Amino acid sequence: MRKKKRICLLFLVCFLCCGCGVTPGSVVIGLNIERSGNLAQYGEACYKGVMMAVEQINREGGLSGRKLEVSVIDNRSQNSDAALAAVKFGSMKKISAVIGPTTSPGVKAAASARAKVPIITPSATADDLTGSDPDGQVFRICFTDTAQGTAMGQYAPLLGFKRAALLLDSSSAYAKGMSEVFAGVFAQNGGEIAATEYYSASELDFYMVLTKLREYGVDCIYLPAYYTEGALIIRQARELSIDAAILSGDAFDSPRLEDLAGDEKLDGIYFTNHYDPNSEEIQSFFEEYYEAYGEYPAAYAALGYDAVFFFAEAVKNAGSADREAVSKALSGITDFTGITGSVTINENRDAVKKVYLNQIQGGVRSAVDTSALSD
Amino acid sequence: MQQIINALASGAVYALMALGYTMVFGVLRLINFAHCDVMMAGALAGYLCHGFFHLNAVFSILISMAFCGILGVLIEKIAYRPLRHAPSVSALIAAVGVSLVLQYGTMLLFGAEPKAYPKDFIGGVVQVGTGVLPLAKVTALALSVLMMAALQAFLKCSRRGRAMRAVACEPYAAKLCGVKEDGVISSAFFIGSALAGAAGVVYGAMYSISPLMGTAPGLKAFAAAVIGGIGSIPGAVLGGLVLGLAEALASEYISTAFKDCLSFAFLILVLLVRPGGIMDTGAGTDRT
Amino acid sequence: MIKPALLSVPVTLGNKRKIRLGNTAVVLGAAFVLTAAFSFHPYVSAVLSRMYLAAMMAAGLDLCAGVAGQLSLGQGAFMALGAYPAAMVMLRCPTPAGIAAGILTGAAAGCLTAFLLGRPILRLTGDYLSMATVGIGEMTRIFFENNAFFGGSGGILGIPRFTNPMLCYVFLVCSTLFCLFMVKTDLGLFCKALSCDQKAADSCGVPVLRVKTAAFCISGTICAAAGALYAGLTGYVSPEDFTFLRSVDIVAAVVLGGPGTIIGPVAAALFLEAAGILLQSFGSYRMILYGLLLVTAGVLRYRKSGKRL
Repeated sequence: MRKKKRICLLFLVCFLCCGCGVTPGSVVIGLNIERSGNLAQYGEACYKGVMMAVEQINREGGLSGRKLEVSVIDNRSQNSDAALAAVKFGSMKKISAVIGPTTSPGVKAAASARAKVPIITPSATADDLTGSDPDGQVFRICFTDTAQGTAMGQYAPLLGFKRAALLLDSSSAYAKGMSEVFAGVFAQNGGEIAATEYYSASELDFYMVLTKLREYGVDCIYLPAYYTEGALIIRQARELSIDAAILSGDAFDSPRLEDLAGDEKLDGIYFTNHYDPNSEEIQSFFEEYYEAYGEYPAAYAALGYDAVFFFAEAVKNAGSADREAVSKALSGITDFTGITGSVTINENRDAVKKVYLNQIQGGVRSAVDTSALSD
Repeated sequence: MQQIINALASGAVYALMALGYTMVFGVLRLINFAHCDVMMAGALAGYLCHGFFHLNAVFSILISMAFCGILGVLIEKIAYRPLRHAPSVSALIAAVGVSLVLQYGTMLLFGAEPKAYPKDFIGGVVQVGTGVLPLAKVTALALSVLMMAALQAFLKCSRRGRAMRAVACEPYAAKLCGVKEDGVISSAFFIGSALAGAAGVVYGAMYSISPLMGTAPGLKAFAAAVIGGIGSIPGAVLGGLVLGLAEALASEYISTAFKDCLSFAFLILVLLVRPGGIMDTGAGTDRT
Repeated sequence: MIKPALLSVPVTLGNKRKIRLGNTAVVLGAAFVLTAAFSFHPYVSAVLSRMYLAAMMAAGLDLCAGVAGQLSLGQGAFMALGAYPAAMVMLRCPTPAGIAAGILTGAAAGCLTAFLLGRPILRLTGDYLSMATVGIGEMTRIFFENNAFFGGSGGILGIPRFTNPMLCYVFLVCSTLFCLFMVKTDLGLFCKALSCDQKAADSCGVPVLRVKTAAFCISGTICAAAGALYAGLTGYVSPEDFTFLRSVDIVAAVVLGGPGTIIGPVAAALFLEAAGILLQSFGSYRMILYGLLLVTAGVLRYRKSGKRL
């Protein structure tokens, strides 16, 4: 018993001394990321994007000559750990800003910890994230769920869809938020919501719920899901001869979608996304990423990449890496151009940026020219 | 009609895994929490067999079963055997520990990204009346019935099988009769884990493979084993089918949102009303 | 309910009681020193708070699982049942009185649920009981996930963050001493009796179901109180905070610390939580290490003590 207590004390003393080991004069950002646990694939993608960006910045001379370093804490996809990581970063004086977590519950937990350090989330899209932050320290460079849902609600009727069904994860705030917005806007623009069905989070077999959906004979299904279950739903829907188009949101974007859906030539898939997959910047990012990691990136990686440059822009504008200065500079950013489009921060510390509509037809990904749609 | 087919197919998968739970519980009175992760290992093994060694479905399943069987025996030797006479809580904790090691070891070695079997593995669909069934699910159904029959035959007719039943009934008396407990338990683990391996390959073919994929079907299969009567082979299969049907009915007539909740509620109901399950073998009561 | 009365059976408590208090004093004393020393540091105080909450729950669970032998794998559910009502109350009145009311509400919710659920469930024995508690844990989590009134999967934000290490420490000391006291009373004796052999205890006149329910309720209340404090720790609760893995953590602490001793699980919980946080930067390695720790420590403990539950 005494021994255990001594060991415990030893541990505590040891980790108080952590956080050392950064080069003097460098700028340090914290990375509060999901590297293990059930959200690991999103966290890892973001991590890779961030690391790529950091390397590139340092290769090109750093931030006004200062080296950019990253301190990583794995929050195990757990909210309590994300909060703890935020507190730890808050207490490490060298940290100028924190990137991550990647998902909304994690960011909410980190923000609630009130660690007095600016938090830039690359990909958390929940609406109430920045508004509910009491310290005004949460920034995001992605659009909100409302923006996505609204965009899809507007585009869908223009693409010719009249009857939609909603299929969502009953336990996901992301899915619920987006479907509500979509349903409202879709109905406003003349569409009809024929049915709403649910599945549960770790479900892999959607036959039962898809069979039920098939009865409604809709021409599109709004499925704001992650690509992991999305791919399975697509596959099983096609097996059940459901021809409806699948509409989704940004969590659908991944090069693994076709692989997991078991079909190289996917058809009738539309999703709101952060970029145009055929644009030059994205293509060159894809190539660089492939060279570095041997695989193609998902949106999370691109957003992580942009988050670092976003931070760099703030440092440049502020002229210093001091937390308050960075925080102020972040709120004032207009027209930051990253690979995921042009970002302007509004008074809610949200990003105002274009919502792209991507589609997959015959196995080919492209962006729908939305301006040509409105007729 | 389609819903019934869905139900049977889900049930078959639960049944395959429930067989493994039941076997281990029968001889060891241990809820093997690591069972579902052995299933995941099996799915991965099959994936590697097909992807790297380009073996066809049948061979992949067989090799995966062998691999999982050996894995199961190893786990038993390292983690459970030293705790055989310890209070069951210790073994439970050890099982959770093994589960964590398997899950995160796999995550470390293979990454967290889900992988999928290519379409030609067990692809295609079969028309059954007005309904549609993916071939993978047909395989699952066929396998579970086959395995159940084989297991029953093994337990009734073979020497090892009878020894296993003896140990499940009363280990001390069995030892007095000259049964080597260690060998029997290892066999039980081998068979149970091999079944998990087969379940894993089929499950992976139906859906996808990821390091944490085992937990959800594991809990359901566990519920299925309990509902059918833990310790009973036909019980496991029956429990799986019953659970599948209950889920289908619930999602059709009540709500798709609470499907999982209802499975657990059903489990608790069964535990309260008839703890032995449908085929009550009296196996779950404490041996004092 | 059983009236706790001091032991009237002639058992030599003298030396044994001294030793036990000795260990208790060391553990709690060291914790006090740490609390006093590091309260100013936000990160360390957050870690300490978490450690103490985990230890509190371990103490409560030990009474139920270690002393009375009723292994409950659903403690995560009680945490949630404490955290959510407390959060709802505290959100509406973020005053110190409101916070106290919140903690009381949470604890009461935990107690009530434990009592209502305990009556039917505790008729089961051994593994069946564990299975049922797993089911309860999962159902509770799913309930909160799908319930918009409790914030659904988005959780509840903006809870006043009142939890500090000293508060958690006070709760820890109270729970530990309370549980130790209960062990020494008639209730404790009955619990030990029925964990040894339920049928024999029943035939000696021990009111088995009532004793089990009492132990289960105490454990549930302590967990719920810990949950309420947890809500105040980060100011944010969501269903993912109360998964099966959380229940496993507490059970692991009980097993590794020595079921039945109360102070053993407390120390083990402190150690496990601290170790888990320290290894945070090691990602998957940490979980693997944790798993290996569970296996080896379980084996070693059993080899050393051969203790029966």
